[in-house]
Amino acid sequence: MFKETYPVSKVTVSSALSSDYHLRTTIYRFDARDDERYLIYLKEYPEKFHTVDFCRNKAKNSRHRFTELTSKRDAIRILSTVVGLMIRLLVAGRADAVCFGFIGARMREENDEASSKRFRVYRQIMLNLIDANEFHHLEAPKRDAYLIINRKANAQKVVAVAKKAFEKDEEE
Amino acid sequence: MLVVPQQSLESSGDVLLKSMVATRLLKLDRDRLSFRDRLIYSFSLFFLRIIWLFVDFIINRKVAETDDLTSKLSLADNRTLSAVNYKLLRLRKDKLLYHLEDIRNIKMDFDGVPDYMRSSVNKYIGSYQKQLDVLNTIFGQRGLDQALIDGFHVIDQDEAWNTRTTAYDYAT
Repeated sequence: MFKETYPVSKVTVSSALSSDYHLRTTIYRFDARDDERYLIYLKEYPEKFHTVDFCRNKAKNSRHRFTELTSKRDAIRILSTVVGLMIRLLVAGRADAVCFGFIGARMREENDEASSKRFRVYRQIMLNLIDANEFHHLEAPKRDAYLIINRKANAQKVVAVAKKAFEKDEEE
Repeated sequence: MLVVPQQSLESSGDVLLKSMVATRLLKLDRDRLSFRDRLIYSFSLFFLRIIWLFVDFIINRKVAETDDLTSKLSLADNRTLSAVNYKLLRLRKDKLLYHLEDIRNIKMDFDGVPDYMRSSVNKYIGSYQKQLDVLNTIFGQRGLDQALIDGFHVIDQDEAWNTRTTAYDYAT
């Protein structure tokens, strides 16, 4: 189910000059069905903590870029592509204790729910594809946040960085 | 019209006499079993014992195999387990749990079963239980000490395994 992915290519790396917590952002892209281009933002923070976001290229300047629904019935392959990139980086950075985190963006109609639909789907994918023996899985359903922490990393420090990163992201 | 039962009219002495005559005529002993019935019963016990000797042989072989595997498993280090081996051990544990439940359910119906059968089955259960304990120790080695870090809930290995769909392989 998660084996079919689109080829991903690196676009650019930009360093965050004015921030003490955010180190750099790497942008990747891939072309999906119907010539729809997607961007993957990989943000790097201290403690080798990374966050992954993705959106349509056409909607990259929209406020709702992370919550829009395209209704093109291509979600599985798009998710597989993003998760595939994340897992590749996670495995490549195993020795360096690379950790990942993301937020399953909440849509307006989900405000009263315990967790967002995206969070629940992403959580299921993470538990199916990432070995719980090798990585710690942490979740905060109320915030729709999920963390994959390498066993070599200091979980306390990574969680502190992740919290700060997610808070700053929400402010922006 | 009032119907009076015939037996109530007979004295207890008559009943005893009739019973003694019937017993002698039918060649029944004090257990109310004929010699033929007693012979069939004794042969049944004998054949059951013979069949159980074979079953016991199979049980002993299974117990030896299980104990052998248990001693190998007790040497396994969770930190060096590959994702494939982790999945195999998890599946083994699931299978053991189902199997143990099945045997325990059968044992619940062991009413009036000879002691030698009971002890063989107990030996079988004990050997499986020992292996389950070893597997539990292996999977319990690698969890984080805390269940909650800074608002993030740590998903323990059992919860992670029980949430996933076992049809998928780990990608890490």
